[in-house]
Amino acid sequence: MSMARDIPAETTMTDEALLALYAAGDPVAARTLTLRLAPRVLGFAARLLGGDRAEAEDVTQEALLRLWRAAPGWRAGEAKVSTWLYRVVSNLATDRLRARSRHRQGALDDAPEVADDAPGAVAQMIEADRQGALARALAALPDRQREAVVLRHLEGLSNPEIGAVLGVGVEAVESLVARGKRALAQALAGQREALGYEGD
Amino acid sequence: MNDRDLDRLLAEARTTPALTPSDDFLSRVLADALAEQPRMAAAVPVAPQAAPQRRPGLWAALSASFGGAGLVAGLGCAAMIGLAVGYNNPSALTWLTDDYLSTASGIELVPAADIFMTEG
Repeated sequence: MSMARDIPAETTMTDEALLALYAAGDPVAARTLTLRLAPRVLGFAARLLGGDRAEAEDVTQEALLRLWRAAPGWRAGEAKVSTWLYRVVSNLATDRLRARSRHRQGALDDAPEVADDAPGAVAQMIEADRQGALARALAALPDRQREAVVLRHLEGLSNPEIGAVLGVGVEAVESLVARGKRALAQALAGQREALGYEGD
Repeated sequence: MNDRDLDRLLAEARTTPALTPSDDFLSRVLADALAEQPRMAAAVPVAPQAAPQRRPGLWAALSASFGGAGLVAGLGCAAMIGLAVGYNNPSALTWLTDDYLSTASGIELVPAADIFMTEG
C-alpha cells in the first residue's frame, strides 16, 4: 500500500523536511522538491554561466543528482538545502567556466537575439543588450567575486548566507561584493549610452 | 557606469527570470530523483503473535486423562449420588427395592437340587 501523501507544490514545508520525506521513500516529496528546487537552481546556474541553457541544465541536473544521493545521510539542522545547493552549483559552474576558457576564448559575446519587427522591439533590444552586457561583465569577473555579486544582488541572499555558501566570513563577503561591483561598473563604463542610460 | 546605474541594472536582472525550465528538463530531473530515491519500506504484514505457551493445570490434566471434562463431570455426579444414597439410606425407594428383594430371595434356580444330594 502506498504511503504517498498529497503535498502541494506550494507547501510551506521546509526544503529539509521535504528532503527527509524524500529519503523515506515518499515519491510525492520527490516531485515537490523537483518543482521547487529545479527552477531556482537553474536560474542561479544560468547567471553564473552567462545564460548558457545547455550548460546550466547540465549543472542543475548534476547538482540535484548529488542532492538526491546525499539525502539518506542528510542530518537535520546541519546545513540548509539551499545553501548546500548554491555551494555545489558554484563549484560546478566554476569548473565549467575554467574548462570553457581553456577551450575557447570570448565565447560569451553572443547576446540573445530579438526580433526587430516585434512591438517594442527597441525597448526589448535595449533590455536584452543590458542583460547581455551584464552577463558578459559578470562572466569576466574572478570566480569568487562573480559568485558573491550574483548571490547578493541576483539571488537576494544575505551576507551571512553568502558566507555560508562560500565558506568565508561576513567581512570577506562584503569585500568580494564591493570589489565585484567596482569591476562591473568599470567593465560597463564604456557602454552606458549604448545600454540606454543616457539622460536617465 | 555609476553605482546608481549598476544598481538599476542588477535590480532589473533580479526580477528577470534567467531561464524557465522546460517540461523535458523537469522530467529528466524528476526521473533522476525517483531513480535515486531509497525505496519506501515495504509494508510487512504483521503475523498474529502466537499466544504464549502455558502449562496445563491440574484440572485440565485430570480431565484430559479421563477423556475430557464431560466424562469427568458425569463420573463426579454419579459418585456424589452414590455417596448420598449410601449415607442417607433413603426410604423413598423401598417400594421398589422391597418388592425386588423379597421376590429375589424366594427364587430357587435349582429347586430339586437337594434331591440328588441325599443319600439313601
